Amino acid sequence: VERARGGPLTETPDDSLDGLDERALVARIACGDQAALQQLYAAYRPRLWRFLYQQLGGDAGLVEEVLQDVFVGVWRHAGDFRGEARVATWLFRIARHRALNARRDAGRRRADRLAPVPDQSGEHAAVDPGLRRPSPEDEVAGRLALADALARLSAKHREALDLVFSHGFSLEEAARVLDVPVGTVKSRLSYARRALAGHLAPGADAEGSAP
Amino acid sequence: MSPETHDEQYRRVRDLLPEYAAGLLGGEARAAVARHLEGCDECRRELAAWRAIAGAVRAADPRATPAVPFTAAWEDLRDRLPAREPATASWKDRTALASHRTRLDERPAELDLEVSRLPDERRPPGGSGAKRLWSALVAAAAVLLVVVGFAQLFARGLGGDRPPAGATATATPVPLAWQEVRLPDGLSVGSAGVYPAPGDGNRGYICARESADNSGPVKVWATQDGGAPWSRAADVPATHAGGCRLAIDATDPQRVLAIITWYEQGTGSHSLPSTQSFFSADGGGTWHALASAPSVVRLASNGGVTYGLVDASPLPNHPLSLSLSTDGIQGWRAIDGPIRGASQSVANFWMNLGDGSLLAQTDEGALWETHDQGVHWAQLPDSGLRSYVVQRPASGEPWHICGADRSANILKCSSDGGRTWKDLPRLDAVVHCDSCAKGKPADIISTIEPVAVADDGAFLVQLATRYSDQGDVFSLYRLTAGGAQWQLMGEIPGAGGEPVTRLPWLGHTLWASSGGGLYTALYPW
Repeated sequence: VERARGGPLTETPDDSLDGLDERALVARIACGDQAALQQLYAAYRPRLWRFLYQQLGGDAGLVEEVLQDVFVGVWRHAGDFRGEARVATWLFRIARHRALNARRDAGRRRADRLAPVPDQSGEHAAVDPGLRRPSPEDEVAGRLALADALARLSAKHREALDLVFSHGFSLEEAARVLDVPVGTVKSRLSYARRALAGHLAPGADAEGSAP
Repeated sequence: MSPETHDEQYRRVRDLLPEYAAGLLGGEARAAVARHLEGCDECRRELAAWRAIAGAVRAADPRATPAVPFTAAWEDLRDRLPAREPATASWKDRTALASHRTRLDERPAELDLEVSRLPDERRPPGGSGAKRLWSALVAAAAVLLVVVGFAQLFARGLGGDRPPAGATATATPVPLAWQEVRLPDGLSVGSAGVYPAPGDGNRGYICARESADNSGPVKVWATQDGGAPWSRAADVPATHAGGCRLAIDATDPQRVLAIITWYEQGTGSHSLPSTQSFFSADGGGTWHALASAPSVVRLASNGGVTYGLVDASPLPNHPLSLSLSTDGIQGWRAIDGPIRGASQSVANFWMNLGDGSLLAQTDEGALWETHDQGVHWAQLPDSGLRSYVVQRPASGEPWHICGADRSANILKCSSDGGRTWKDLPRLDAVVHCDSCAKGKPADIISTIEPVAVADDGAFLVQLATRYSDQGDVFSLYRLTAGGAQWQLMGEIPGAGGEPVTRLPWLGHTLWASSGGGLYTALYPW
C-alpha cells in the first residue's frame, strides 16, 4: 500500500511501518541489513508482544525472551521468506512456533489453557479490572459473563478468535499461522461461538441454523 | 449456470461473517454480504453474535506492553544476532518465482485483479476480489522487485519486455551537494522524528521524547533554514508518555498538529492505543489540546477549510479517509465516500490552491478529482500505476502527475491532469552484490521510487545503485520536463536501508534521511 508522502523523514522506534514496504525490508534483512531488522522489530514488537503474552500465560520475562528468539530467527531465515504470505502472517507463525517450544521447554503448559494470569506486579491484568467489578447494569454483567466464558475457552479455540478479532488476520491467514487447513479455523470459530452462545445478549443468537 | 439459491448463498455468507464482523472484508465480498444480510434475519443474528464476540475478544486482549524500553531491547537483540554471510535470494528462490507466477496464472477468474498486478499485464476494468487477498498479492508483486531482477538475469523471458541489464542511457550528471544536518544536542535520527514541512522545504520540525522509554516532556524544535540551526519550540503538554508524530499543514508550515500515542498498562477495556492531539498555529510557539484526537497523516488548508487524511479509529488496518474540517480541526467529516470502498484508504491527496480543487489517490492506485470539496468526484483514466508524485499546481493549470508501477519499473507522466499518460524512458539500474545469493555474487535490478515532481516539471526518482559494506547505496535521477534521458544526480549520502527523501514544494531544499544521518541539498535549476 502506497501511503501518503507527508510523514516524518525519520521515524522514532515506536512508529509503525506505515508506508514502508515490509517485504522489501525482509529482502534487506536477508541481505544482512541490521537497520531493516530494527525497523521490522520496531513495527511488530508491540503486536507480537501482546500475542506472545497471551500465548505464554502472561509471563512477561519469558515473552521478552521468546520475542528476541523470534527476531533472531527472522535474521537467520529472512532468505527463506517466499512472499506467499503477508509478512505479518509469517512473523506470527514463527512467534507461535517459538511460543510452543518455550511452553514445552519450561513445562508451562497449563492444561490447554491460554488465558493469561496477571503477573507478579499486577501491572499487566489479563482482563480489564473494570469488567470484573460488579455492576447493576445488565449490559456490564453480560460482558463480564462473556469475558469469563472467553477465559474458559480452550487454547486452540481462543487463539483462533484472537488471530481474527484481535490481530486482524483473515481465516486463510489464521490457518497459515496455526498450520491447519482453513476449514479447521472455521470449525474452531463456530465451536467458540456455540460455546459462548449462552453469554451473548438477547438477539445475538449464536446457534444459527439454516433458514 | 442457475442462480444461487438462498440456502447456497446463506452457507457462503455464513462462512464470511466472522471476517465481516472483524472488518476484514472489502470490495465486492463485503457488499455481497451486506446485500444478503438485508434479507436474512438468521444471518443478522449470527452477525450480532460475532460482533459481540469480537468486542469481547478485543476487550480481553491484554493491555500489557513491554516493560523493557525499545532501545534496550533492540541493543540486546542486536548483540544476539549471529554474524553471518548474507544469505538470500538463492537460485532456488528464482525458481520459486517462476512457479509462483505460474500458480498465480492458474488462479480462478475472480482473482484476475491480483494477477493483473504482475509485470506486463493490464488490469481488467471493473474487476474485483477480496481486498485482503488483493493487497497481499499486490505486495507480492512488490516483492518481485528484487526477484524480477534475478528473473531477468537468470530466467530470461519472465520479465517480458525488459531491456537488457545496463541498457539505460543517461545524460550528463548533475550531482547534488549534500550537507549533513546537525540535530539538536542529545538527539539522533534514530531517536527523533524529523518532519520537513511539505509546503516549504526550508522549514521543518523535530519531535522527540526526552528519554528512550518515551517518558519526559515532548520536545519540539523548528527550523526555518533547512536545519541550520534548530530552535527549541514549546513542549507539547502531553499528559502521557508515548510516541510523538507531527502533521504539518502543506499550505501553511506554521500550522502543526502533534499526536501523542500510547498504550495504557493494566487499565481500560481493550488494548487499542490511546491518543492526544495538540495544535499549534504559530510554528510550535503555543500548543492547544484538541477535544477529539483522530490520527491525521497529512494536512492542507485553503481558506477556512482544512483537509486531512484521517484515521478515525484506533483499530488496526482501519482505512484512512480524506476528511475536511471547518472548525479549526476540532471535528472532521469524511468526503471520500464515493471514491473508496469500505476497507480502502485514500493514500494521498493534493490541493490546487488556485482553484481549490483536490486530487486524491486510493490505495489501489486510482486517481480522483473534485472541484466542490468532495461533493462530486470524477475518476481519472486508469494509468496502471500505483505510486504518484504531483507538481505543485498553479491556478488554472492541469495537474502534472508522474508515477511508477514499482513491480515493473514502468514510469509515466501526465501533463494534462491525468487524462493521457506518456511512457517515460526506462531506467534500469543493475546493482551488483558480492554476497547476496548465499554468499555468491548476484545482480539485482532496483525498484524505482518516485520522489517528487519539482517546480520546473522535472521528475525525480531514487533507486539503489550499489551495495556497500553498510548496505544499499541509493542514487537520485531526474528526467527534465520533455527530456529524453535520465540525469544522474549522484548518490544519496548514507547507506543501509532505503533513504527517505522529500522535495517540498517551496524552498527547493531536498531532504534525505539515510543510514542514520540527515542531509539536505539545494535542488539545481
